[in-house]
Amino acid sequence: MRFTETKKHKVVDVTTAEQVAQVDGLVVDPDQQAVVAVRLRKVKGTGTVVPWSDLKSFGPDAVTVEGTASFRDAADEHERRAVGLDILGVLVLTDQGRAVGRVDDVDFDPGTGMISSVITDGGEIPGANILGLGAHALVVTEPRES
Amino acid sequence: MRLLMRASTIVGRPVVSLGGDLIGEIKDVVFNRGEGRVVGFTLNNSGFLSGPRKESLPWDGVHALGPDAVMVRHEQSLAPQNDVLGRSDARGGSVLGARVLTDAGADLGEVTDAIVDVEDRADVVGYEFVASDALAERKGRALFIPIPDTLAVSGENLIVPAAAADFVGDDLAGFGADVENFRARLSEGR
Repeated sequence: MRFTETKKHKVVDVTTAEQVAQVDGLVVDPDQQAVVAVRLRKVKGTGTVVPWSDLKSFGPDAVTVEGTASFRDAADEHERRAVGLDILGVLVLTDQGRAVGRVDDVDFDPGTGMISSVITDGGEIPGANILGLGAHALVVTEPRES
Repeated sequence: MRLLMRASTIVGRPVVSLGGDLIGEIKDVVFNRGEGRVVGFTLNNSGFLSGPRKESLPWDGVHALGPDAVMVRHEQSLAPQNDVLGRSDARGGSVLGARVLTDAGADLGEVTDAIVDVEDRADVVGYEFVASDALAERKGRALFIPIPDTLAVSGENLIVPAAAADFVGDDLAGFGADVENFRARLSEGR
């Protein structure tokens, strides 16, 4: 599934059959090279993020949860920083200081949250090559010449 | 393998951590001419907070120096400015505008830039200069001259062995080979 395909996703509580939020964006952990939380908007109730592990499923049209108790805010500065970042459109730099391009999209496994690849205007990069994500850039390992 | 770069092109380059944060940008390249290498960089902040940064970047804090960014492990890779400036020498100032003078007394031209090998120790391997009429049909062109590990340099003159004139290159891409060939010739000569 692609990040850009999730922009209109509803968040639905399967215990009440009600829409409880919409997906605002996907929170990436560069160390795990995975989506680790969903940032929320139009929340019925409180909370701005739901951790990946608290999702029931991430489907092609909606994200499902069992209740909204797991909705919360970022717990500390580290989480706040990660939640505030949007990987789409960010500059991609290799760890050797070379610009690859900008992120157009991210391909991820909706079952596990693992990022399989980052699609940039300068080529596709395997998720396993992700080193870091900050406000300025996504840093990836320089590909080895074969 | 050498990765050669003009020192002047490093100025203004963004400094980015491996975590993807913008640390600042390169303000000045700090040289130790006696050691023939770059010992570090002073920094400016970026964006609307731009202005000199108190901390500087020592060469051993650099993870990689690439065409689009200088990469550092993290903000802790920086050091107090005095640490970096302290590794410079009295001759650390600019050689721009100095004359390239062979030890046989020929004035080959005027220095316009230092050429640094950024792969490993940031050695200055040569200089870009504008050729004088000592180089005949190449007069007025921007050329590259290799230098040995140690050489005498002041703000006025750069003294090169007469043999260096045989290895003057036309372009940066091929200059790595000129440097290797020159150094091979020097070790034969000894």
